[in-house]
Amino acid sequence: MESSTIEKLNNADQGDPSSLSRGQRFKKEFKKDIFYLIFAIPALVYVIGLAIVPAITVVYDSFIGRHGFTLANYYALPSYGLYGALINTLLVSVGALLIQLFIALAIAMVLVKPFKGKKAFSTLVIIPLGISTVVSAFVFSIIFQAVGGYANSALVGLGLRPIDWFYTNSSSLGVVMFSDFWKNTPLVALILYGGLSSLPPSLYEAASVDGAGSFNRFVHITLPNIAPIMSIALLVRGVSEFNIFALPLVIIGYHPLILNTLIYENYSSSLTRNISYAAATVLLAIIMLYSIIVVKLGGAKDHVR
Amino acid sequence: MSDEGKGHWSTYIVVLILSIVFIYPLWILIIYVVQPAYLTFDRIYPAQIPLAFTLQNITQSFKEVDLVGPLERSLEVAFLVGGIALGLGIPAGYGLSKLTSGISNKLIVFLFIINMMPGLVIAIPISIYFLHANLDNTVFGVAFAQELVVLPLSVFISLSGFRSLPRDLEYQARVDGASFSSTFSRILLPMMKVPIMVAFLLAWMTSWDEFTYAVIIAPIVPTDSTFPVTLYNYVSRNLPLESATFALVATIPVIILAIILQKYLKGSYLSGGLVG
Amino acid sequence: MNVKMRYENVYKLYGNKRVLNKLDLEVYDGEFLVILGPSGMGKSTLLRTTVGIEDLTAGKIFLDGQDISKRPPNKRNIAMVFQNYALYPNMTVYQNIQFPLKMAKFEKSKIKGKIEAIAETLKISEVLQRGINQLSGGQKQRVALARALVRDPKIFLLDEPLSNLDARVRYTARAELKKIQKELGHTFVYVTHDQIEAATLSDRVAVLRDGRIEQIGEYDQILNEPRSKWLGDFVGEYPMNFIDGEYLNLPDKIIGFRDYWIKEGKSVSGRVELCTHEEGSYHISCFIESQNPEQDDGEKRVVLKTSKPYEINDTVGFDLNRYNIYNSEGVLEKVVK
Repeated sequence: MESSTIEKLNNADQGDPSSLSRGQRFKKEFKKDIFYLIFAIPALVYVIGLAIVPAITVVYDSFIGRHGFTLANYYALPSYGLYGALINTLLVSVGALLIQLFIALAIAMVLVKPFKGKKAFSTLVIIPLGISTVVSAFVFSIIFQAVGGYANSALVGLGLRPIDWFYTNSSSLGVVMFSDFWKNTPLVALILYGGLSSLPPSLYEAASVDGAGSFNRFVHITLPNIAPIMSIALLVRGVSEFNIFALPLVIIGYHPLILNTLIYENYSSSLTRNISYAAATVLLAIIMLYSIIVVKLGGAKDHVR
Repeated sequence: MSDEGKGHWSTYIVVLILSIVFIYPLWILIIYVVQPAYLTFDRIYPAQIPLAFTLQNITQSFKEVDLVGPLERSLEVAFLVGGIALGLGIPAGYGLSKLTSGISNKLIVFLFIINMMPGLVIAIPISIYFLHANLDNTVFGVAFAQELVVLPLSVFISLSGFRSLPRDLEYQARVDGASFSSTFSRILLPMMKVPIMVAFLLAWMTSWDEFTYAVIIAPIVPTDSTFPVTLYNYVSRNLPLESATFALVATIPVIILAIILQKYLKGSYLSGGLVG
Repeated sequence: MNVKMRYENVYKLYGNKRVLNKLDLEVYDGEFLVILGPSGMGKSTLLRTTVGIEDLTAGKIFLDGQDISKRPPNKRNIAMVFQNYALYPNMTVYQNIQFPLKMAKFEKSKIKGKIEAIAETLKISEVLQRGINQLSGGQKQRVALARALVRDPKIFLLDEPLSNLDARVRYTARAELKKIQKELGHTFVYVTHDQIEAATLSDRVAVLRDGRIEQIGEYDQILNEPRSKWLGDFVGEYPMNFIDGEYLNLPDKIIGFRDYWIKEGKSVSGRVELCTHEEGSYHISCFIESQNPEQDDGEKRVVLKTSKPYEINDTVGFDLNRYNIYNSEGVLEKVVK
């Protein structure tokens, strides 16, 4: 061996690593993490710069009036229709969500079984995913318009009386709800189908052997097993429902208002821009609260399972 | 709800009803476009089936309003959004897949919350920044804003893709003498083909559909907006035949695309990587 | 013997868990060294820190006299065969073997010949153009080995490479592996928990326990003269028997003996609990009478190899041909033959 190597060997006598300082240990352990964090930093900087910072700006500006800090924007909100908009948003969200979940579950359950034309049906179900929101909103406004609408022509064809769909708030919201159900059900169906098709068939076979009928199999096997995936679909879609914008804007405009159309209507004029910010802050607060609950619940669930 | 067990006929009834529901709006759009106006637009109770055929609405619409410009714009934006989603999302997914789970979980939750933030709330201040940066009414401006919608999703897709790769392959490549960058490009990326494609496709389709950011960042029509914003404009200007033609022209290729790629449209991707 | 690789004061900590704890080890040039140990004792970590896919917490590793412990994996010139073979699924067999050569910027004109030669040696010439998924388990193992061998690294690390094979294939694979190592004269460090592999493959065996080398030497030496009670328990087909020193008038000592170190006699006797037949011999498990029943610590069941069968509850008496004496801490003091 070369003499320099022997020297190295002699110098190599390092002590027990517990003698290393805390800082050195920390550095050794997190060196890798910092390296890999670098890969994520561009994306993180992007969303912080273009989502977090703007959100903070909105919240800040919502407290600004002509003479500095004020709550006036918030006091004014009810007169711009905040409560109505809130209730309408909630109604549409919850309604659309429930219909979606119900029909999507039916689709997913049909799709896991073999039947003739299954491929055609699954293709058909995909269609709304390829049709953009504004297009579907436009088509539904044609279908439901009072004069020249296809829904009414179908009603009349069946010998029923035509309906002015956009006459009352509730039927207007109903149309929005239905359009939203049509556009977004395939997504939920695909999520649920993924969950259902990952269940082992032996589960059902065992239940059948045990004498469980189709209803019992559904209640005792299908539902509990896809409950986690269903709740995720519910949570993810729930937020999107609350953010619904293009669909109501195209179909019903500003009558009645929902939160997003309220924000948009007031944003367009510089006079009421801070009102719009206040409404936006309300929406942001609701959604952040909701998503924090979601994250907490989701985390807890992981521990339970 | 237990129709599935009762035998085949009930399955077929459910399938039939749902098929009609899902195909009906597309059907209406098509017959609205291919029939002369006196059978659709001018009728109080238009027929559910086409009674005459014409291409006049289509030719007329192309002459009267700009349909090609917004579609080109939408295409540019969509490809840009897809490209940025891969450029930022793939490395981020890789980094997150390698981080200590404590750190990566916090970042995932952070991105998840970003994904939930209401678009309109964010779009409004962004439009002001972009005004200062001369990005308003530009393809880049719209794409940068829309990127917020798709970036978290792309990161999740990339993350779950990298997590599903066997770890030893990466180590093996390093041991076989590959540098970090050639390990990434020669070993890891080739195995990530499907997640990369799915991330791009979903980003592309989301951008094609996206309205909120587009209407705030580039509201001026017809030449500077994407197709959804322009369509909204035509609808509010009460141009139903032009709108219908426009809607159909813009939709058919995307539906075909979605059908071709349906095997990749899996629930686990669409739910934001939270499932599975 | 020349030292090929040398570990000095090597530590690896996960949080406060010491996976490698002041480990020292020398690997000789051209030897087949088997690292033997139960799972969770740091065997894989030792290999992973050696190739550099994990960093050492402290200590150094010298390869051919040079400290490699700070180098990235691709600068260490060490080959490793992973337990699951880690074959690149997007490449053919040929491309898999070619990969290390490409990375080493090996002269292009010679690549083909080199791969064909190694494929010949490992009998995988016919499958070179196949995809990875079309290979049997045995073929995968050979491809992984070929990929490791092809670039002439300084040393080879193998992480339980035969554990995924079924028993019949494993037997031949073992023989071939040893043959190839000897023919090519490479240095192999081979990790396993399998006693038979350690016995048949190794020039030397290093037994790893709690992150350090408990004993290193030829397998038979460790088998017959285990340095500690723990080693006697772990090494060998049957664990070493340990009985109270009182039986041989050695107070405060512990006597260790293998099942086959006995002959019929009278020094110790016991009651048969179970008797099993194995080719030409019998193994009996029996309880021996305790010398001091008050403070018996449960060390009185022994396994013996005999030439004739016993019935349950028969009494068996035996003498010891040879035995090891351990002190009360379980450390070997003396070998008595």
